[in-house]
Amino acid sequence: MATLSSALNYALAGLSVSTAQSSIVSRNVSSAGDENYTRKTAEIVTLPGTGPVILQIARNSDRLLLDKLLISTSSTAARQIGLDALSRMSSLTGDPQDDQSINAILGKLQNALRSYEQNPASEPLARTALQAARNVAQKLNTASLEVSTIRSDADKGIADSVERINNLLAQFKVVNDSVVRGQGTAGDLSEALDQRDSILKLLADEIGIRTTVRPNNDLVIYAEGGAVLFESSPRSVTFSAAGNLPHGVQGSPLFIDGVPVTGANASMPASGGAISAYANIRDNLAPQLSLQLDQIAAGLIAAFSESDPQIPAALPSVEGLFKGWGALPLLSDSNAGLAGQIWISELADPDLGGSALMIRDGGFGGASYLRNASGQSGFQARIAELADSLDENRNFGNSGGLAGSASLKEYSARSASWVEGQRQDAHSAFDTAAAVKSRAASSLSQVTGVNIDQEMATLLDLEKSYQASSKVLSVVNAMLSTLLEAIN
Amino acid sequence: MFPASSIPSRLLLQPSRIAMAESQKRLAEAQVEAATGRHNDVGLRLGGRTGTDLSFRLQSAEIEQATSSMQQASLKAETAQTALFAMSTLADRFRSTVGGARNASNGRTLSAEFAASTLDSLHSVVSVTQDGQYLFSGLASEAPPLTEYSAGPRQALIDAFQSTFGFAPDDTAAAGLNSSQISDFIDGAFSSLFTGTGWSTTWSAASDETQKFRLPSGESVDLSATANSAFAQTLTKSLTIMELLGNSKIGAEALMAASDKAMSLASQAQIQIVSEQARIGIEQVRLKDTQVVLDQRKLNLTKAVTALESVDPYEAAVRVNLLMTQLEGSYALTSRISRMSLLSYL
Repeated sequence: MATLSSALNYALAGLSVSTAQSSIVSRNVSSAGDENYTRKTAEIVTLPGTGPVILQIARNSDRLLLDKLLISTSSTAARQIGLDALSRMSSLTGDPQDDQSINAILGKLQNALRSYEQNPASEPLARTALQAARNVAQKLNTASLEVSTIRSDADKGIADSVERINNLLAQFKVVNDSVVRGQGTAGDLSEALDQRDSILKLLADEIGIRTTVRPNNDLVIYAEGGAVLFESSPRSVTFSAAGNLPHGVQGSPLFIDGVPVTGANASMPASGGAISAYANIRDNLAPQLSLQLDQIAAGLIAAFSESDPQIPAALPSVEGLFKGWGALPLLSDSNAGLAGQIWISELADPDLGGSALMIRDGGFGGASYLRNASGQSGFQARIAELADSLDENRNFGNSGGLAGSASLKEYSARSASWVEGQRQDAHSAFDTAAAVKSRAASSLSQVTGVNIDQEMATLLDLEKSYQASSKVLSVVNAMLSTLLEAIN
Repeated sequence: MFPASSIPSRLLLQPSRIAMAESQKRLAEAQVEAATGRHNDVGLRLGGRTGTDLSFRLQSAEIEQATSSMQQASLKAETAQTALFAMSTLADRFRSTVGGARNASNGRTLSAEFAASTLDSLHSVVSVTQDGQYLFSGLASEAPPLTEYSAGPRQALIDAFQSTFGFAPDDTAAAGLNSSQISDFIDGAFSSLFTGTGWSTTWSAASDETQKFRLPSGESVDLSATANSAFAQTLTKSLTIMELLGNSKIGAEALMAASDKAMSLASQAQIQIVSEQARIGIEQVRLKDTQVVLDQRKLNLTKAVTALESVDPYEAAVRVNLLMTQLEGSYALTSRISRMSLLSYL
């Protein structure tokens, strides 16, 4: 039997539900610009005798779309970092028209030698050739340093990334715990769930992840490859940063829960995210370019080396204008780090008391290596040999990943091709990944995002129902008053 | 699962925002391409073909270097040709002067003096330099090729005379020498100072080997001659015979035999000079031919580089216009969409 008081109760319940709903609308509107915010709606049930109540606050979300976004986030982050590193490597070559590539600088050395060959008595031409040789050595030094910096930066990048991962996992534990604890209670978990998803997105930037949901909405995070990152509590991600990585020295691998996930011995290799990109730069790309530079340096030292002019030769061949480690390098070795240490013999440097004319005469290895023993000012043979040596085919071995025999000029051109080829691939891969990520983000946002117009329309509805409930209250009040007056 | 109307407000402007950013980026690139006619990022565009592009550019630079070297080399050849022509003129004039003076009363002194002055001229002609290098010195390019006659060779010739006949040329005893004795002397002890080690110790500081020019194909081209060549030896010998014996006390008949010898050596030297000139001339033609080939190659290389690196500047300019229109559209759209809100009507 319905009574006036039950009408009053319904009207009151309607008022409180409208108020609560408008608070949700207000929350939605205020967070409309936050990409991690999911639209909240009130789930309302009408219980017999009490009127409508808010059962729980639901959030618009989609696990599958989120997973897609996480995967594409990881791959975009990785591509971006790889592309950045390759752009730095490619700046060593620069725009072909600027003639700043190693290839162009080698060519300038050859041209300087050819001019000098025309007039071997000319000290200025000898100095020009010397300067061209010095430019080659310096270019190799700076290139080697730059590649080594790229490598060290990547190592630092891994260390930073590891720190972020550990921080994020610690935050994740707090939020996940509150979700698990709150499950089945009346509390509002939607904010915690939003926060948990946003931590996952940040985590995906650093490392590729997969998640599975366990009972009580407990989330387990795996790194791509299978290593567990979080299960009830964060697993330790450890890495010892090298600070400065010398050429040819392996960087240390990344461990998740004591298991290596990068490097050759990784049993569960991580992929995606900043970590794997940095590891790839540090362990593959940079060392390979570095070894190519080292082979160029070794080739140069060999090309300019001196052999005993006597027949048969009694003395071993020695370093000439270009110097390295003292002993003549073999192209079949990897010669790691040689490009950073190639230099011009001080014997040819007029500023250090040497003579640039030694390029013509030889004798860097001592008087017995003099080619122009009688000191003829027009002696061309040695200069011609040196100029031609840059075109001579050499077997550079496979240490730089550029197999086959080539001249120094060709090999340096191949090295530039290798870098630019990698960059081109990385660029288009990045474009693709970024497009996929943007699509995934927008698909997810379409589910989770807030449309202000819609919220406003809802607000109008709420206003109407609030007004109606208020009206009911005042009518019931009037009726009660009428009743009481009648009694009095 | 969601109504079509509920595009989140945050996403409403996203497409035009992304489009604007993208258009602006492409506009900047297109502007560079329209202005320079080259790809904005050549390395990225070429990728694995970058090395080819670098090689083409390098070959182009090599051709430029070779061209400038060849210009120098042909200048050198021309200088050598001029010097050789001058020597041939010297020989010619000497021959006619000696021939004409034979029957003159002061013919002996005239010939001797003319021989001495021609020797001086020869010395200055053969000492021609380019870039501070003596052209006829071969590899020993920093020293003048020939020693001055008065600075040693003359004494060596006098010594040879002395050791052959037992007295000096200006000794009165020389008058007793007959023509066959003089001829024997000229062909013997005298001539040995004009060949092999006699020549190089008495006369020449030059090397036998000349400085070569290497064509880009690697072939060596010899564009100069050294003072150790036969023509220089023959010509010097012809002149010194007249100078030494004209100033000596040998009899008229013997002197006649000597001047016969000198004149025939002078014309022999002329023939040798002409053949030297012809040899250098052939090399000069070869140089010119090579230059033509190189110019053509350079042209092809430039075309190849252009094909790799360049964009059509008109196409790029059209692209700039298109992108600008697109951007303006995006701006207009953005402002209209942002005004479109229910809030304005509540």
